[in-house]
Amino acid sequence: MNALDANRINVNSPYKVWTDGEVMHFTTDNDINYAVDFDYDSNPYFTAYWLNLTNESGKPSPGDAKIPRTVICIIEEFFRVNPDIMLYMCSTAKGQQAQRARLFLRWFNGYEQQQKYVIKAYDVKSTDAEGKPTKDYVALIIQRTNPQLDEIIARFDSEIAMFNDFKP
Amino acid sequence: MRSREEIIAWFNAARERKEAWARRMKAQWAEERRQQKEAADKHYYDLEWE
Repeated sequence: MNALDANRINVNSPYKVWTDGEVMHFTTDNDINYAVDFDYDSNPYFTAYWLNLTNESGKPSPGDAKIPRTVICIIEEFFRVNPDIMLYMCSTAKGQQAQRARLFLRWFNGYEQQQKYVIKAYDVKSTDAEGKPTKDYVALIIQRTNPQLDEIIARFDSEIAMFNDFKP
Repeated sequence: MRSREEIIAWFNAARERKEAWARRMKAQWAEERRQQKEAADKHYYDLEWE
C-alpha cells in the first residue's frame, strides 16, 4: 500500500493527524486517542484494504463532528494514493455492529463529496471462529472512477447473495 | 466464485486481524497513559524524606 501523507490530511482535517509510519493517529478535544489503519485484504480478485478504526475509550463520541470529518480526510488521502477498494467491517464488540454500521454510513452519506464514491453495505449472516452464529456488517467503498467498478460490485453482490441465501 | 467456507474463513480472518489490531492499540495507549502519569508524578518520587 502506498503511504499516506499526514501533511496533506492536515490541510483539511479538523484534528491534527500524525503517523507512526504505519498507523494514523489523532486525539480529540476530549483527550481521546483514535487510530486508523488499512490492512491488506486476502480476496483473490481485486486489490483491497480493510479500514480499521478504533478509539481509546471504546465508546462513541456522538457530539463531536470533528471525528468523522477527520476520518473522512484520512480516507480521502487513502484513495488519493491507493486507487483500490476499501472494505469496512463493523466491530462485533458488545453486539453493537448494527449501530456502528449506521454511524459509519451516516458519516459517509453526510460527506459532501460522496458523489466520488460508491458505497455498498452488506449484512452478512456468518459464524465466528467458534462456530457461533453472528451477523457482520460490511461496507464496500470504491471510487466511481475505478475502471473495474461494475465488475467489483457484481462480484461482491453475487458472493454475498450466495452466502446469505445458503440454507444449511 | 469462492465457496461458503472460503468466505467464512475470509470474514473470520479479517475480523480476527481487526480485533487483534484494536487490542494492540489499546495496550499501546494504556502504556502511554501510564508513562504520562509516571512523568507527571515524578516530582513526588524525587522528594527526599528526612
